[in-house]
Amino acid sequence: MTTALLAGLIALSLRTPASDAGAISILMEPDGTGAWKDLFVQFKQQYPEITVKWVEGPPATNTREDMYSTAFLAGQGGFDVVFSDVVWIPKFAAAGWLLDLSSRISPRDRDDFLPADIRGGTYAGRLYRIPAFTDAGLLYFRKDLVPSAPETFEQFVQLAREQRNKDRWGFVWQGKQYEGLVTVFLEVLWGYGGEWIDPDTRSVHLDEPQATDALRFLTESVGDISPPGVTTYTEEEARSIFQNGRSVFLRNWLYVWRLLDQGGAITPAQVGFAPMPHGAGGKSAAALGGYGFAISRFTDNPEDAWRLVEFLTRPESLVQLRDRMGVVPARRSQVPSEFLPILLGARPRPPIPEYAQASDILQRWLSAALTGRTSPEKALREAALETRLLLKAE
Amino acid sequence: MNRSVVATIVLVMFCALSIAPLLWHVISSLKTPAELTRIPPTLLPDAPTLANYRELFSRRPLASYLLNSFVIASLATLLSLAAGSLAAYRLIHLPARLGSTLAGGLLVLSFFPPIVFLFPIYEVVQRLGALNHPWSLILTYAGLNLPLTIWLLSGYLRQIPKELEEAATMDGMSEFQAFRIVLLPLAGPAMAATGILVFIFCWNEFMFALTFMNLDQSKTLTAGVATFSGAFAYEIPWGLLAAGVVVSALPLILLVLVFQKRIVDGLTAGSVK
Amino acid sequence: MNLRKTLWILPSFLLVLSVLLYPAFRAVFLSVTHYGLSTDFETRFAGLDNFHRILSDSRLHDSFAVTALFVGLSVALEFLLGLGLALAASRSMRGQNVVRTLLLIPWTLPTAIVGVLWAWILNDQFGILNHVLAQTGLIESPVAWLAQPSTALASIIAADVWKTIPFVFLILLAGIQSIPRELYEAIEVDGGGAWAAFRYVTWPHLMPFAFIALIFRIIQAFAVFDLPYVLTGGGPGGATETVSLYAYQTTMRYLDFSYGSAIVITLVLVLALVALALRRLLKEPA
Repeated sequence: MTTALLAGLIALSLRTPASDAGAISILMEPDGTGAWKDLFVQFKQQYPEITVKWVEGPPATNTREDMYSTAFLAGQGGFDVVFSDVVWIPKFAAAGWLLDLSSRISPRDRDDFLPADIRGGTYAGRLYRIPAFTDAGLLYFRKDLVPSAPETFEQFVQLAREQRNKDRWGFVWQGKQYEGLVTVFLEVLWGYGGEWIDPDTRSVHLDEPQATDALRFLTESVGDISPPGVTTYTEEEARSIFQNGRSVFLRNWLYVWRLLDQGGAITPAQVGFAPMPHGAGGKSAAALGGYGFAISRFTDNPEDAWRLVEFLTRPESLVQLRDRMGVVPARRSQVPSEFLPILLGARPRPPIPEYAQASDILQRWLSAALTGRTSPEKALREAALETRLLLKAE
Repeated sequence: MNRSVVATIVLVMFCALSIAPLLWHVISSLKTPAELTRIPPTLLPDAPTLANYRELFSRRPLASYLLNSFVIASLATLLSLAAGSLAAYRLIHLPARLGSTLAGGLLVLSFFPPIVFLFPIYEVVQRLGALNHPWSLILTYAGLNLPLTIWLLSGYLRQIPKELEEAATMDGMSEFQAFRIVLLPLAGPAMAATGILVFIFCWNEFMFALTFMNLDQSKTLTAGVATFSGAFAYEIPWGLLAAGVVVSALPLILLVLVFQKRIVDGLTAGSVK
Repeated sequence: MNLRKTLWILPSFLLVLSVLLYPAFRAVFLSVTHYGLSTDFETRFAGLDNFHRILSDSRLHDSFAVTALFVGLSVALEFLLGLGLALAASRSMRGQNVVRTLLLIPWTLPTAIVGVLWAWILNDQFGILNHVLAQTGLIESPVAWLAQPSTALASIIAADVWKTIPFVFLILLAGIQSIPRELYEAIEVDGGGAWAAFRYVTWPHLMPFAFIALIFRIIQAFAVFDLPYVLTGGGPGGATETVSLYAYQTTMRYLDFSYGSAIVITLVLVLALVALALRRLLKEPA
């Protein structure tokens, strides 16, 4: 009896992991609206001979990045298509994990996609990611309280302080230690005319005065025009507060615009949007976000994978995503005209292979300053030092 | 006596504290998502439902997770016991100085934080194309537990009187037969206690399981449940997670209920000289 | 050593060689190279470069501080509470089996699952802990246990203590129960009270048990990974990032394999120093 049990165990242990040699696998974000599921069903109808295995991953973008990384490191049994955040491309491409798609994209598509998003999918001159939807950081404001959006940071703080009362905060944003915090900081930093990392020279500019001004702007808003809990907010917490009428200004992504008529204490008529403010010598800038699709170099079915990528990024598919998820397609022909100016000026984060680590360094120090554990100057000085050591390690 | 009453109260309190968090998860797992996000939280579910468990098993290959954990932990334990008992036997027959040096060396190795071994083993497994294969974890776990197994078993075997062994070999048995027929059965309790501890370790291990198994159907229960995905873009499905915790805890609770005495024996064996 | 005898140890030898010895040596080797994403996955000799970087790496220093704090507080709490529990259990003789079973359950749970378990209980909006504390008037507004640097590490320590007290409790209880009754009676005859009993009988007998459990726990606690990974991911602001976590990130997320190896080698060295110091401190003469 025991030998039978043992034999059974060993037999089970020798089952090779199910090889879906013919299937295209992809790791997606959580599909709350069911929009992705429908698209995959439609794809199956159009291409019945191609099987797609799609998995819903965790909500946090860098957890999914780690899952992709782990799969790529394994070199086999990984994912065929990558649902890729714009910041993953330098690392994945530099590691040699992606297929060069430069020759596959049609010239007409290349023109239709927004230039910033094409750039975001490019590394070392080669295109690795076809954009699906784009994103940028905006300043949302209550136009029934503040007739027009402030242009400079000084005006912004003044307006926020005026409008702040016991039921309402001045400004909510994403202050938790995660990638979102980096995008918020960058928008303020660029607004002050500062820089983070120059991708070509790999020089670090965090210890320059503009960076300190930018971080001070954020640290001083905590508890003043922003709730103390802002250091724990991601996108949804901030949006929820704004939509419940409890803040005058909100910094968030494009998706909020579509959700304004879905519950909450305010109506779309009360909300306006504008580029983020800038400092005296700077220019407004939005951080570029958004997702697209790339293909793994280890796939057994590059042609099928490409068909899937093409299908998911064509206008008909993107329209469905826009209508059900509120995302903004990365195609110029489909971008709502009111967003176009901001999107055309959206800036990508530094496209370096070590982006993940540089971002982690920055996040840590930003969070340390925001939670009062260290001063903004010290935080940026240390961040600059560690980032320089990182970029030099060769 | 007064002190005894205080002692009993303290014990009861701690027992309650040990169980209460788990009970809370059982309760939470039977609530609907709406009820879970109600403030203040309800003590008992308004309309208890098994929906979370159904969704857990349908959205995630939980049956695979369970099977993987069971196969991997069982085989790793058996391998560890088999190899360990043989080695323990040889160890106690070595001259004292050499024996204790080797035992000491093994113990030192077992004190290394597991993260030291993670990447080098990962490299090898990856090159062999064995990622996501159960044997990558079976062999790793067996190796990681060998020092403890050898230490516990040699401690126990040493206590068996030499005369028994000598009697067996004088009866014409080979060393191996004496080992298998006489010593092992006597070492039964120690083997069982050690085996259970190793099994629990393998079942609960997280870091290696997380790193070696990236395919969903290859994951172990612990790694699979602890790295759960969300249902909505920014919300965490607490009901599903609670159900996952309950499902993960049940096999171990069963183990404790059945083998409590052996587990305690195993844990305290090292200290009772 | 004849062939037969070698066969006995062969399986163990092969396992130890491939799972413990070779990886340890490989880690040492990698720590003196540059190997990873930034070298296009080529291995280059680096001498002590990585260790140089370690000296200036404030994130690593912080992770050691976090780890040391975790080890110190966790182990201290486990021992104090475990000792108290063991003393209590040795006095109250009823339901020993039930007590041991119930108390053992947290220890048998996977640490990663314990993390998930506590994440729900500590949730600031819907978690039961905040609710209970508010009801009893101990707090005014919900505490974001895992989102504040000050309370995040405390939460992880609490979760670890909850899980590990049984281990200490059982070992110390076994120790206490092995003390012969006569010694206690002797103290009573001499007119000594509970404290004298503890000081002259219980504690000296308990020392060897406590010592072993202490060593085990400290070494285990230094390697802590599962709890911070699941509960906080190392945040907020690196307040709960332990050395293992940082090493893991460096290797698997940043793909900096050589630096990751240098970090784990440093951890081993520090652990060795701690172990030696402990041995000197706690070893009774003779």
